[in-house]
Amino acid sequence: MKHTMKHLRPFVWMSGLALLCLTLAPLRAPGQAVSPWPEGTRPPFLQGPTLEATLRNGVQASINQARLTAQTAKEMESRAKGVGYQRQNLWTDYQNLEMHFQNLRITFHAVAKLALQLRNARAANAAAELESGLDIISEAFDPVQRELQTGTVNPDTIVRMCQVLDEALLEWQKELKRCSSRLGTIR
Amino acid sequence: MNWHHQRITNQPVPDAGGVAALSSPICSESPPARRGAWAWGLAALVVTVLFAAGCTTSKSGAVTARPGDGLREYQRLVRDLRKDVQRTRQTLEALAPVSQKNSGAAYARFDGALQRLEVDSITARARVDAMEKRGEAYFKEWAEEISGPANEAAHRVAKERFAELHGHFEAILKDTELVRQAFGPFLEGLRESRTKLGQKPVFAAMEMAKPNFAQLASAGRQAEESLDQLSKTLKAAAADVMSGPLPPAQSIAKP
Repeated sequence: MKHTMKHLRPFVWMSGLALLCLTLAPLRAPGQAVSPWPEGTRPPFLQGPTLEATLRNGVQASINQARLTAQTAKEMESRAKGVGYQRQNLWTDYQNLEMHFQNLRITFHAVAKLALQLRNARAANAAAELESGLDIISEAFDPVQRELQTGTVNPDTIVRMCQVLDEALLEWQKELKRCSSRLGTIR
Repeated sequence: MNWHHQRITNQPVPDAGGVAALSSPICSESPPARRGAWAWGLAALVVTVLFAAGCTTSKSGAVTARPGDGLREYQRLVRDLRKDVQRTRQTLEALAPVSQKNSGAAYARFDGALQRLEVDSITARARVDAMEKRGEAYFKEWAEEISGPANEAAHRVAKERFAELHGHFEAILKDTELVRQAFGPFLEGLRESRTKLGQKPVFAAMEMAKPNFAQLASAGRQAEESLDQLSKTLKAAAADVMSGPLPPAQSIAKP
């Protein structure tokens, strides 16, 4: 009896460890998200073990990116108010701000695609509204873009764009938080 | 096996008597040690099973909405937008009788109100845009709120009301389109005026812009009227949703 137990001991250990490894391995469970970004590209946020977890990561990444973009707009605004603000500074600041805003759109677009996988109208509508919100916010770039094309950039137009972007993005990220239950990221 | 032995024997021993036995060295030949080895193996299995269960039972985390939630939210957005439009229109009208002395302050109030309108209207405008793009998907959302994860009978009762409620939905879509048509030119006109005049316009420029201000104020009033009409339609729809038969209370998530 003692002999048999001694032989069985490694088996019990090995099977326990094997099962533990299988559990922690990235298996595709029924509730797991199908990646909304193409294979081989760097995802804008981490994929979690479930669709819900991935959505949460995506929402958090979008909130962070919205805050970062708003902060960039605020900093650009205070620089643009300065006396020695040059056209080349404007171009660098403008491109930087636009890049952050584009990253936000890419990140949230991935979240919206994931929300469709929940297969309920509530989540899909909430995602569509937030995406429309970003489309509307992007209108703030238009006056500066027009002035850049004609070569007559008014510092007041830049300040205005930055103020609207800063406030609008903070409002947008609040709305995203409010929409968390519709998006299916909180119980 | 020696590695496991080291790791396990180096762990602090819990106080509880029963659990203390689990931390005994497994290479010992004494009977309590044999029990310990089996217990560790079983513990590993239990942990594994619990983890696995967690992975396979995950569901969508969407919180179930209460009937009429979508309508109430839309009503709130429309109400807030109506206030912002009215405030901006009033600051615009206040520019008509200004003198050279007080024109700066009046214009600053208008500028502030416009900036608020631009920011605060985003959520409402986004809702309007999404509703126009997605149309029936919104009715589906409201239908999901009404029916909830209820039983078969409740679903049947709710479905019978959907045709009646669809009439409200179509009226809401129609009024939403009217709001978009009235609000869009108003906001665009305000923005154009603001770009032309800048942050601190001279009095002469403001005098010249007065006819344009009057036109814009009229567009603002039209936008307010369209928002009032939409509010009425939403109120009627919400009242109908709440007055009809609803699924059992246990199927509706608590707020």
